[in-house]
Amino acid sequence: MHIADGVLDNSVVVVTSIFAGIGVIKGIRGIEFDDIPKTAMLSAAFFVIALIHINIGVSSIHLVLNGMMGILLGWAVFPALAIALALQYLFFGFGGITSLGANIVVMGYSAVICYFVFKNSIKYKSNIFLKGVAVGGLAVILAVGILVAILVFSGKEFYLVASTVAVSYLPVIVVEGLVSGSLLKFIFRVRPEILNVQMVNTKINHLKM
Amino acid sequence: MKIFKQTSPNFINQRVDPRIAILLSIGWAIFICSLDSISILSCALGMVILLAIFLQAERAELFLKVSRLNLFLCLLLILMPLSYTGGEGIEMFGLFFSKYGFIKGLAIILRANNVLILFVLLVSCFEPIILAKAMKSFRISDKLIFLMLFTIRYIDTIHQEYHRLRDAMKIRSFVPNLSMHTINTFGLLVGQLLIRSFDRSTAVLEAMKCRGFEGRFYLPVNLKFSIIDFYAVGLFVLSCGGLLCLN
Repeated sequence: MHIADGVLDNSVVVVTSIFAGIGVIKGIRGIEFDDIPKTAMLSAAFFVIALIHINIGVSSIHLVLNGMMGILLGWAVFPALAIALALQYLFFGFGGITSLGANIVVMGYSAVICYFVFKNSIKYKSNIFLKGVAVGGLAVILAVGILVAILVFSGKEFYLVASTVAVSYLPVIVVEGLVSGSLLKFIFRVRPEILNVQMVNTKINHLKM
Repeated sequence: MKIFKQTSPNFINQRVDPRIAILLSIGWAIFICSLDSISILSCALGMVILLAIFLQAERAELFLKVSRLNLFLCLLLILMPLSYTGGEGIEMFGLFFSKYGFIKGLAIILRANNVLILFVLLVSCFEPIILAKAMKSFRISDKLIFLMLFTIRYIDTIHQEYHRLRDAMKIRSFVPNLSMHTINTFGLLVGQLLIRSFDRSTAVLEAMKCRGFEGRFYLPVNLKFSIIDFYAVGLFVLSCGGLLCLN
């Protein structure tokens, strides 16, 4: 899901950089100095999680878990992603420097939307595993949707690339959703206080484990 | 296994100011991404490769990063010629490969490689703390800078934690395959990793407070420009000017 340098149209680069900047500023303003170890630790954890590959037939996919990142960090996901993506480019060569804004927008806004969806869904009684599946799957669907929109806005030569990307992420949506479901169920059972949803502690008893 | 290796001393990280290195890399990236001509982009790539030879860059590391990038871009080079139907091109296996699409794809590959090589040469070679000082002098938020330093510090720690958990799974005969059991196990693995990270962050904060942390970090900036930095800026301006004239 990384866009390299030189792919995007200049106007798209400018617009996505502005949106990414807004997200990062909002995220930075929301965190206190005391929150930095927690945010950095979770950012590092998601950096490592992105290195986990799951075999699917002859190919393999790596976990993204941007939906879970959103649930755990809220708006702070933007600075965490900005750092993680910049480090991935600096040390591994994934992504790009002019396309950093676009990559932050793709991952960040999908994560924040999932955070609000999860926050609002907590009051409804339903299986927590299914909620995790929905949020995890939705995060990848949104991220791919934003990525496809960015590519389409960059020129008609990317139509085929965008549709190939969308199709290739279908198995990722399923795997990501199931892993998120299992992960969310585990966190709810073991340590619900790490979720960045204040109402969790009061509502937890109403949820089916 | 360590993700981040300590950087070895070289001409750039010993003699060039990191602020200049960052600004030149970003300036070069913007300049290169605004070019379209294949011949000019090839010239620019040649210049960057010459710089890499002059700086005696670590070939293995550079090759690894460039090959990772090109793995994705090769797909682009195959798909982009198929996006156009008109104009010049060739037909193979019943598919029409447009020359225009191929040129567009090639330009993207040249741009991406060019920017990445220069970034590896000029920015990746600095220690994270030096980059943090440069960021501070650009008036970037302290919170973002310390978030970066903490993240770099803990990536290796959490990576080791991940390998400990994977090893524990392996000695219990866990073999991943495409099944619900594997998916569920990976969910538990990631969950355990996140909980341990959270616990570790709480312990780190408590240790910081124990040592008198009052909600403020201090990062003195003691960077100085030298004559080499002026030469570097001059070389950058000359290179950009030369490429523009050719254009």
